[in-house]
Amino acid sequence: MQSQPDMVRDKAANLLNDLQDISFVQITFILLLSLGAIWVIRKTIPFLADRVPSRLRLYLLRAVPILRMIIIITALLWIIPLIFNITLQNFVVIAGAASVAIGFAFKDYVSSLIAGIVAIFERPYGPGDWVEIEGDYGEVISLGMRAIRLRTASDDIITVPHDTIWSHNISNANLGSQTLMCVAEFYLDPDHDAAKVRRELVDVALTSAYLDYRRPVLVMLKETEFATRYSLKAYPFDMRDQFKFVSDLTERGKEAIRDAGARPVSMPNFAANP
Amino acid sequence: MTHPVTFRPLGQYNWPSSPVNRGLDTVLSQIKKKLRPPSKEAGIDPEKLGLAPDRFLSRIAEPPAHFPLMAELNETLANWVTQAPTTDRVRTFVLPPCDRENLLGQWAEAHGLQVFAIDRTLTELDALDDPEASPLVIPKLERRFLRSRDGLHDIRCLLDRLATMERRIIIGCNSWAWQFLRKSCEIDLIFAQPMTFQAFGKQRLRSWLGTLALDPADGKNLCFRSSTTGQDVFGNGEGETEVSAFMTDLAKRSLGIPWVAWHLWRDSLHVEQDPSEDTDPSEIDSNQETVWVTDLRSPTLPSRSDQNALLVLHALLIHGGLTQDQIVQTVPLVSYTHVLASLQRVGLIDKTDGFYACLPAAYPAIRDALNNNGYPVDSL
Repeated sequence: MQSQPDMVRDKAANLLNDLQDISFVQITFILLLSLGAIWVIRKTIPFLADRVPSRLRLYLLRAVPILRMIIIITALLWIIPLIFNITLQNFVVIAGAASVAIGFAFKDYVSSLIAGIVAIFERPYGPGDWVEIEGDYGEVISLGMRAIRLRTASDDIITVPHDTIWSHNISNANLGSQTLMCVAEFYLDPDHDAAKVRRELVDVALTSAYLDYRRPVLVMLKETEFATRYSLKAYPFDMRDQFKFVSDLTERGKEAIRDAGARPVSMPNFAANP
Repeated sequence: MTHPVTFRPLGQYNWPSSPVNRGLDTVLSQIKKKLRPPSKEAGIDPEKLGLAPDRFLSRIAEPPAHFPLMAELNETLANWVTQAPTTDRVRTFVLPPCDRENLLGQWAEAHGLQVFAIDRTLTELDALDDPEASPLVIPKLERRFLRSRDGLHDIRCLLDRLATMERRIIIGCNSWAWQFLRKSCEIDLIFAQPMTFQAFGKQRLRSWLGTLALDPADGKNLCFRSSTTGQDVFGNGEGETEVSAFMTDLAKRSLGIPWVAWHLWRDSLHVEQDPSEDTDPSEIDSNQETVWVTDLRSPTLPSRSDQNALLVLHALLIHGGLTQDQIVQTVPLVSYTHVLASLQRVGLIDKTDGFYACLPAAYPAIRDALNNNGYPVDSL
């Protein structure tokens, strides 16, 4: 009869199941099934999201990382017992070995993976959101396990690892909403009728074809050292139109300012008239 | 004899279907068609059908498209128009767009009331401010402004005058313009308690279109049969109390708007062509006993990628109709485009007397497309 320490040693020695007991076919099948399911989800959901009513688009896009996480966890829980002999002692051994490996070799990678899981629940960003991270502003077009991808207004694709959320501020312009505030700024020579300009700028926003009627229109004034700054703030009905909306506000805002008898300032004028 | 129903306060419109239902219906009917092609024995081969001639159509589906609403409007306003002037000075009617025959204007003419026409100026309005006179009717407020800074100034001046007039007034405005004016001019604070008609459900549509369909020319009872099922579209559906599937579909597709339903109905009426003769559809012998009713078709709609088209359609709905120059003033068409020609070609808009406007039969599809793409839509 074996003593207690001998039994523990035997079990610990059987960290892996016997090779002949491991079904590699089954493991391959699970891996292929999971990868296939993830591939299908990554292709079909964004495809559908561009075709369903716009109010449903973000809900669909946000489902991608959640479904992917569920598939990965399910696959891991399925595969691990097929390979490892799971006991408390073995778990401690595996966790110890994994900690050493992660600590030395894959620290940043695993940090990003964990940050990715945290990001799914904390939602500092999600697919379809417009975010600014370390000076880069763009739409989150994909939320991967390790990193997100942003598409900027100039159509650049920027990859940002998830572990950025540990150390940097994430500025999210819409946070899951359909729209976001757009700001068109104007710098005017201080000698003008501010009330009239303000009214005209409100009308510029109210007559924009991109305006979301449900949201407010605001005009803010601030006196700066060299000009009066006007910030015309309004919301487009679809955040994908934000640059067109701001361009429309700016174009017609300039005309309104001219009609109101005010004069924009520019650097050459400023330099010529100190 | 039953009394016509009256108009209801805005916000109580009972939509016969939601955009989701219509979307699902469309998808399901497409799947059904693919899985089970229509039986030619029950209905008729679509190849054998031709459009019903206009003369025949004017007998079996005569205008105006808003006919039943005349009586309802009369019932709603009869007491108010005849009573002595009171503090209750304004009646406002918010109607869905594409009312091409000008319901309120025609009603005013029929009752001998003065109409403030679109081409008349504000100075002329001041001259009409007689508190003892009969109500002044101002139909189609949407035609009195442009969605531009100058346009806002004009409509605000008009609204200011109307708010201070002592004469009783009846104002008509389309529901898309109303939404825009609520945001830009707070029109709902000036003219409280606007009203709209009650939606035309399947029963009311069957009753109205069935009355129209009695051919007054020779008193002949025509038979209106579905070209796919062969069933009488005015007959009962599967349950005895139910109307036919076509009428149910018509009520849903038309959003309960009579002029939309009327146009959809006329578009669906066909007659059998004589295969032996190569005849022009307009010359078909109209002396037929069976009129074939084809399934309602949805026009091809622009997607989000065709944003110019959606922007133009939205502007046309707000204004009820625009000239090309006005479209350029209200829609930010930055690049060179032939969007108007393409919208005309696919049957979403037409051009009459220089004005582009959405076709009534295409309105439900246009509304769904704008709604799906996040545009601000009307509310009844």
